[in-house]
Amino acid sequence: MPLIEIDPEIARDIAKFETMLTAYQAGDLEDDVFRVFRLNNGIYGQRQGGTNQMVRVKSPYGKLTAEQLDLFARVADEYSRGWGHITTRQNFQFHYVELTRVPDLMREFASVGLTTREACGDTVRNVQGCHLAGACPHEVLDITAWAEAAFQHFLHNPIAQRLPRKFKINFSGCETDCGQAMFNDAGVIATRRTRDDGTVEAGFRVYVAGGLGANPFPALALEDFTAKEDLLPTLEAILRVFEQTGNRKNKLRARLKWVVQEQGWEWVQERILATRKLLPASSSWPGGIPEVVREWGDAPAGRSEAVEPTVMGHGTPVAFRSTKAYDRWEQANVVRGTAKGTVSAYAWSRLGDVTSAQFRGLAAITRELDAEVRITNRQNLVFRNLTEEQLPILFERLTAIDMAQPGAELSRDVVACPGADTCNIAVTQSRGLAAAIGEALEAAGLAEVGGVRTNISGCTNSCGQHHIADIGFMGAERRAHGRSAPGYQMLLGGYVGQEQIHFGEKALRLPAKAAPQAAVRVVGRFAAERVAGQTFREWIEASGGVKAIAEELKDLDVFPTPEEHPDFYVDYDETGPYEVALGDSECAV
Amino acid sequence: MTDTSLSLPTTRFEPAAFTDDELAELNAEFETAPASKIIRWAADAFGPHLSLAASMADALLIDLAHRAFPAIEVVFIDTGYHFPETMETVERIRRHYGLNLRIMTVAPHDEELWIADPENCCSAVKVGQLDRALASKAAWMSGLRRDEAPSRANAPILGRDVRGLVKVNPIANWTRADCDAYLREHEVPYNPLLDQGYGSIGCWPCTKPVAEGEDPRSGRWAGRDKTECGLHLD
Repeated sequence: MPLIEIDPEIARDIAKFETMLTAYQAGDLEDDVFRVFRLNNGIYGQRQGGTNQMVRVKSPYGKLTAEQLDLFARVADEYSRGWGHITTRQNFQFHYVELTRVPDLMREFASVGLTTREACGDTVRNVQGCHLAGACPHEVLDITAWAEAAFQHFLHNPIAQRLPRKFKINFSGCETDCGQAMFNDAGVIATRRTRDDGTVEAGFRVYVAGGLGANPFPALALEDFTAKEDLLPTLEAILRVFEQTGNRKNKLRARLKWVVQEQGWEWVQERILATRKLLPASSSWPGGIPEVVREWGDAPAGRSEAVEPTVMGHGTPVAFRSTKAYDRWEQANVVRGTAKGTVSAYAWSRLGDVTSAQFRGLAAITRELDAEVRITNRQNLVFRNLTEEQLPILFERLTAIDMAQPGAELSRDVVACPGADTCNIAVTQSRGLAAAIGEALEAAGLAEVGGVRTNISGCTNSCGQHHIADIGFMGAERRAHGRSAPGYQMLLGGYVGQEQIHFGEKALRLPAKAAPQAAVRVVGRFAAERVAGQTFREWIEASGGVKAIAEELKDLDVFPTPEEHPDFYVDYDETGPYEVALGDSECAV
Repeated sequence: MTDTSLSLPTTRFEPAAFTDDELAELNAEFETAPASKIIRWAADAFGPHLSLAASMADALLIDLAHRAFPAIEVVFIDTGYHFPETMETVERIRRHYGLNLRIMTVAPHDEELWIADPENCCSAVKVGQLDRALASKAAWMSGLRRDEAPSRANAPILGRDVRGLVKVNPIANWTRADCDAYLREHEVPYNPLLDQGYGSIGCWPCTKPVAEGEDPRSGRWAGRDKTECGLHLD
């Protein structure tokens, strides 16, 4: 395996982790001190307790190489339990890693240029980017190098080591916003403006202080246009204002969105712009266009004259014109229309899990086809830079590793957080529900309905991003017949794209075991009733709104007695009676 | 649930508490103790509740502290008015030690305070940030030395600051010569402005080089009565 030289700073991070771990094991370091240190290095505790750790490795803007995929295969087998999990923020997580083996694992990641540093904790988290950046017919700019510049600038940055709370940065190459800029602390969308002399300039619109969680807020536009040379100072100014003004007494109200709630948007906006003015004089930032952008370039992939570009983004319709497996995959999973004629194709990952065999297969495909791979925020992978001729080969290879389902933007592509399977603070088994919804849709012949996204979170914290999906489920405890039972709040009509964001409206609460049936009914109605070109939100509107749709699901909100239906009192993937068991949150400590 | 033995935190580090008499006694003892021993004591007594406030003129105290406690939190206040050389030194020192460095940034002001209100500029841009950095801390260290200026001639090694926190000056009784020897021997990174006649380094509007033989801090707020920014006032 070709190894790169380990970045000296990362090497020091690992050495320090080892020193701290030794001290912790010797009893010289208290739990709370070690915990904060471990979180800032991307290492979480797990529901299973003991020294089981969840290790989160950052993949800035989702980019992965064949070497990295090969390594993930080995890591899954040798450190974890044979699989890795894709997060909604383009990270990979490996569970059940023994604490004492974490430094070795960190070294393995470093050998392929990856780090877990600042993947958790009150830090600048992974920098996200739209997964087709550089290969998208719609993009205004290839945001790849800009996301890399932001990643490099903020990793280890001393102004960001003790933030009031986490800070998330997302990039999108155009207003379609596949990178989901609209619900993050700093969301960057590439855009154009026409100068007074009539020439057109590409730059950015920066959105600020969005967030999901229990109280979702849309991000707000800082200014109409941010020139390229101002982008990094702008991001740093936002971060500085957050560092200075975020609530340090109450972690639950610490994110930047709360500063806006408490101080007002104008106050925050003025402070950010005033801070940016001072930055060239004081930051470690040399100014101008970042070196990596000058090196890699940011020219968009451009649009083909010959091929109609595949429509991208939330609500994209999918038209099947065939029943053959390859055709259906090709119609649902392939994106065309770049200037040089290259295409992209999705590899579908069930529940965002990738097994070691699949990792190996993905690495082999990457090499064979000389393709690029990126992680999507809907827990899939996308191969880019392919030729038309390579598509049948890719389909065959993906079929061999069970990743060739037509999935992208189809109803079966259910997104879920890890939930009570491994997470300390989850209330329900979100993954179990995701699997059950997938199976119910398949059984009902509704797994390949286009333009409807389902997202599930196992608690209010919204790691499964339930607020921004067409159909959202949020785990909640229910009481019935004197017993605890797993339940969900169903939301309908969430949307993110076109520099807009709508949070799903509460429809009704349901027993967990009735949630798949509710999903099937809604997807079924949408498939049957939608008129051509109608989006899910438009269909809701035409159907009398969320409340009217919820009304027709009311009969599902019934708990049979424990004697009639004991399984209503047992969560998915569990054998014993349901009980809410919460550990201390490591997310907001 | 599969297993409910969740990983709950069990112990929290409680920083040691000292009476003024105890501090005075230790202070007397520390007059003849090596700096490394004083730092070790502080690290043991206060653990993660100890900060080191650095001016980044050099990394002498950082070097000493890092040997005793590699994870020690070092705080630097970015007033927005530092020399470029100072900012470069900060980054060099951070990388050199893989430092657990926290830079405090200052909110923008409507006007250039060092012109409009020089007496209060320091407190607005520096002292408030130190307060913020030391919130929830029990003690802090600084590289303050008695031979830097008459205003510092009587600085104790151990004392209590205006916040009630324990203040540790482990190298208070070192001379400039002691420092130079240590910097050379251990190849400690320092601010290149020290080689250009600056004896003490703060914000550029209020820092001038000093002539040979002058007080090293006489270039700070030169021509004014001011001698201290306020970080080290009791």
